[in-house]
Amino acid sequence: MSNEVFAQLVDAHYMSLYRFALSLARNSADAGDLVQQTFFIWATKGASLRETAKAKSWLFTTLYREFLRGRRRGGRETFIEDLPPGETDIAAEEIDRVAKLDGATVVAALQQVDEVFRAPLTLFYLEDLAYHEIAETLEVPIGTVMSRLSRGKAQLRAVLAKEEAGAATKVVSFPVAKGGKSA
Amino acid sequence: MTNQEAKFTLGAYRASGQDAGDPAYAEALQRTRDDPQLGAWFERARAHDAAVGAKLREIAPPAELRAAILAGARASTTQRTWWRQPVWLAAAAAVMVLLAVAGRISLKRGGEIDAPTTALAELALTDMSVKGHGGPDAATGELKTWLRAPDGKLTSGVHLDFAQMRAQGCRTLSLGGHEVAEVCFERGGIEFHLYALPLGAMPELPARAVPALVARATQAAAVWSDSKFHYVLATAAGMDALKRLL
Repeated sequence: MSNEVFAQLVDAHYMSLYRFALSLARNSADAGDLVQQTFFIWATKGASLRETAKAKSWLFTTLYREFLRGRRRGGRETFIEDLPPGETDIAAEEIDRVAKLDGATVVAALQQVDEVFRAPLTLFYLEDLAYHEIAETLEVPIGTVMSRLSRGKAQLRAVLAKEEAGAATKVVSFPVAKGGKSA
Repeated sequence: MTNQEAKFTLGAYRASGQDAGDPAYAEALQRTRDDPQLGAWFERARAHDAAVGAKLREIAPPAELRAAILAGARASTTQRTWWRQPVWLAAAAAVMVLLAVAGRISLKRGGEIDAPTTALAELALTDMSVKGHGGPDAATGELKTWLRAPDGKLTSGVHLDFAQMRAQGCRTLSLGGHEVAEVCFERGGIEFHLYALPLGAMPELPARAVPALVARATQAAAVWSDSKFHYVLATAAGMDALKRLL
């Protein structure tokens, strides 16, 4: 693969890969490492992939595997069976609420979602992959992806609602006037 | 299909509508058209998904990430194909990342040596382990004589000329677009590998007059600089053998 083609591949996918990695790893440095490692593996192995159309799925799959490989040392597995079913009703205010947030706040909320839901949920919101491609990437059945999306969305909305409630009740301290008392 | 089942299925439907042609959603989509209540739910769900997705896509990767990815993969040699071996590419990629984000990554080795210097030493140690690159006879002529001189101290001054080295058959390789010269030589029956990188080619790499010593099992490397180059001297014969040349 020529440098130019490789650069095109990087340009096409590194941002989405980084966002996916950031939701998984929860910090920028580890997310950057995961993306770097993913493209390095592509440079050594993936470039032999004949069907370039599958490069995107391959990259996401590889990044996820690398994340799991690094996390397996001490991570806690969350089992789907232990978790409550997802809620499905959405109030119009929730949509407005999200629209008013900044990207970092939404990512921070996403990072609080259980990992088992977080991976498919992030891939879904990035919109790079269809549900069946998400299933291939995460190596789970299609039905499991749909179930995790449903529950993950419910968790994310709960986190966002909780954060807004926290922000609404947060005590705001007024600056103390020079040499005097606060008002 | 019930409305609950339709909601479950449509939960995977991307807000942009790019799944509209997927037969798997056809029945559920039809129900949203037939049932106004379900249709209203679907519109709200899509709007919520679109809002979250848009916020997620606002996140920009670190500015240096793209360059680090490309530089890591560009690591190449100008004369031989051994660089295609994963072990070298891995080391080169690691160096590039460390150089690109120097100061913001803590190398797990610890110690007093900065991360870029340590990484460059590690690269040399990995490189010299790769089979198939220039052996101890790669240096020729005056350079070979000088390097083989029994009492010569390399830190007292290395007179390198890249063009001359290339003419003499020494290997050069590219690290993120920066040329690195490498010459192998023997002294006292021990094989050494000397690498040189122009000073200032990588600003993140600090110049150091006093050699920084890095050991890995029986391998040892020293990194130092003069007014023109950063140098790495590496050997598999241990630190004592290395120090005799410094």
